[in-house]
Amino acid sequence: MKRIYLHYCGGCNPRYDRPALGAQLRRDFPQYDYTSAEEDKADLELVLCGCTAACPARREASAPRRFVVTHQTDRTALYAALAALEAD
Amino acid sequence: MALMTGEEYIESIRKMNMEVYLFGKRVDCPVDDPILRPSLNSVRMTYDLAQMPEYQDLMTVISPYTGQRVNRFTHIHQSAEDLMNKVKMQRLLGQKTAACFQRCVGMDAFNAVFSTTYETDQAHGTHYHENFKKFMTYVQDKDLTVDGAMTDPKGDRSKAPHAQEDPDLYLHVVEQRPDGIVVRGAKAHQTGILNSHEVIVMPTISLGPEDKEYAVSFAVPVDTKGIFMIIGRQSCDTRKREHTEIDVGNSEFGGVEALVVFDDVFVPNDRIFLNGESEFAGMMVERFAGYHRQSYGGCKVGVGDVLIGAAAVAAEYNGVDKASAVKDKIIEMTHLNETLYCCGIACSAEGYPTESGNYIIDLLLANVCKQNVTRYPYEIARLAEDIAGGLMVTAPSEADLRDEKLGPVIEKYLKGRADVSTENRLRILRLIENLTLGTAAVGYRTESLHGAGSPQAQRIMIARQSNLNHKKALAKAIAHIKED
Repeated sequence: MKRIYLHYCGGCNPRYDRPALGAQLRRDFPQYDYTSAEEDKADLELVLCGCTAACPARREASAPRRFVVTHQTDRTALYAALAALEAD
Repeated sequence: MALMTGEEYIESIRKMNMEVYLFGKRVDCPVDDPILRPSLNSVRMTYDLAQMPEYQDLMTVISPYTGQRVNRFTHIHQSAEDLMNKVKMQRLLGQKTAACFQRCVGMDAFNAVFSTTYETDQAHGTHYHENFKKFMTYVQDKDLTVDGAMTDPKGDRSKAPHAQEDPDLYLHVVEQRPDGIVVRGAKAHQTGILNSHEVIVMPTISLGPEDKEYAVSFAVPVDTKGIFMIIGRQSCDTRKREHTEIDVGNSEFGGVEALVVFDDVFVPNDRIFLNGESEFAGMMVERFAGYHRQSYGGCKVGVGDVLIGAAAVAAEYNGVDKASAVKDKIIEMTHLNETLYCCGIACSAEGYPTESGNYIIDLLLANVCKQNVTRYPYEIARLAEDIAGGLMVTAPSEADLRDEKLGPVIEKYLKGRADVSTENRLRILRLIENLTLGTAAVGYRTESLHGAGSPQAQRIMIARQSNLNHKKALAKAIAHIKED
């Protein structure tokens, strides 16, 4: 089972409900194992950032692949990226 | 144990044996006192958020000293990014509490004492830095809340500490022992000491050689024998004893300040961070003040976010939210608030490493930040009151609203928009009242003015850091001025 490191930014000025999106993605992609611990080896780091500053994206990725979500991210692209993870 | 839960924090404070006085009486259990409890809840939020994945990035960090995940409030800043994350964390906590969450002062003392002890040791061959690092890792391991105590009562402001009629008006060493020191004095305006496990004491001004006994810094548990605190009054504080929710405006969170007396308190050697090296008092003061002036670019902005939101809700409830004049006032409030945030971020982004390796903010920009904080919250509060209308100070009490006879009258005549309940309208107005002239105004207004140093203190620092000669040279070059 592929694992996703669900990484939230600190949330000082969020433009959308990050935990709600995280919960929605867990429901929509139940085929993946989700972790909130950086030290767990994951296949994808999914960073849910509250705004375009995307602070965590400045640091080195903690998985072979990373997808950064901000309030401007096209949700279709996000869902396509998560669907593609299974096929890889 | 690197991170405590909020509940564990509350219970850890309950176990302490602090000597606290309020309204002339000793408080048996400060944790359960209705006037004091909201301030404890504010600190609790610093623990609760640290447990939540969606706030972990701001609230916690891996300590380079213990290798463990620790609360950012106990962290030694390792980069400019750390400094920026500090400001963002403070904004977040201001948003979640609409009050002073009290833990910043310890974090700022931590970082000021860390670098100053290093440089003191380099100059004097002392071991204060090792003492401090031992204390710091203890605090990180236990996830403790630490108060930073700087402001002495100061007596006659025209006289140095040693020249005061009463030598105790600045905290000082009264006895040097082989195993430690004994100190006497007081610290005023101590925000959050009541909700802290430990207190770091620092000098309050630059000191000369004749003031050696006043050049002292140390840490002790707040329930150490000889320490007692007298709680400061806040506007509208006794409303909290009425056990109502609406009239207090913010029933869950608040701040607290106290006059703290050190009546011959013993400090063991391994908790001493400065003892007589008077030339380093100024460095400690300046660095602490700089960090704390940066802090206000985060915490007050978060509280400002709540006040702007409250004003916007009040406008909606009054049915005037579409009026261009009201919209413009909200824009102005936002502009002022975000300007403060810009300053907090800017002084952090321009941060640099000290000799000890930890990062410090740009002092000029931090002082500009705080100078703006002495002004903008007042204008934001004025605009909020403008939008709210006079009812925020003339509305009847919650008891009247609940009264069988008066309640329906209040419902009828104090209603705004038809689809909004009168109770909700009163709730938002009371929150605005709380922030602008109630208990929270202590933190949002007067603390914005005088906290981390009064306005003139920043102006002195701005003058010192402004590099005016460079500006004059620039002007002369543009004007092709040649001087002999």
